Amino acid sequence: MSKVVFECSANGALFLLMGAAFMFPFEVHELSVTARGFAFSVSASPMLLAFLASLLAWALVRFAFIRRMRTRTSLWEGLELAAEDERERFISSRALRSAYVAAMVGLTACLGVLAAAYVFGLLAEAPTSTMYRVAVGCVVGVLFVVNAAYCVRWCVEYRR
Amino acid sequence: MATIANRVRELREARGLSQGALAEAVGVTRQTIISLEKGGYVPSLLLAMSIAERFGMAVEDVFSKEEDAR
Repeated sequence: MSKVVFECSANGALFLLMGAAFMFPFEVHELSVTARGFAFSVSASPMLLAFLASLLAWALVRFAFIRRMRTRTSLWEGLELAAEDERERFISSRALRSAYVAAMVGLTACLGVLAAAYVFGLLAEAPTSTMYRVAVGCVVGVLFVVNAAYCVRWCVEYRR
Repeated sequence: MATIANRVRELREARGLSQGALAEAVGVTRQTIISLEKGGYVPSLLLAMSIAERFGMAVEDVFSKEEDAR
């Protein structure tokens, strides 16, 4: 169970950080290289850099966790989907069912929010950045809820 | 609804086997044996046969179909 809690907590934290990085870029540093027939630019913000740093830290912590657990899981396999035996496979299928329902409900709710905003003209006067933030917020919210639904269902089934 | 009852705990204890040892012998986790003994998990046919084989008994002597009273 610890492997699922570990992976889902890390995923949840990464989703929130990713959402914060894209929703609130704060101060953006741009680096651009332009040559004849070629242009390349990179935009980074402190939040985005923090997100990238946490991705790297997470990869290292995950590697150490897998080594310590001595699980049969490979480094490239999702820990939350890896099953040690048939019962864990069964639990994963049930948790995936909950996650699927959460995804469908979440996406439908997001579409409902966006449709309502369009119908009532809530975003008509809003700047593009607000619409962008709403869209990113919807994606992050759905990812977080789906992840939480999977984790909770997995743990509840495991303890039975 | 029908369910599967089992005598895994009784047979395991009679043979002086720990849950971990039985789990290792049949290739599952200890948690699966715990859940099986509590009646919370219905094993696959393959696992049921492996457990029965470990006890040197027929599957139907270890597992039996039980009608739910509700």
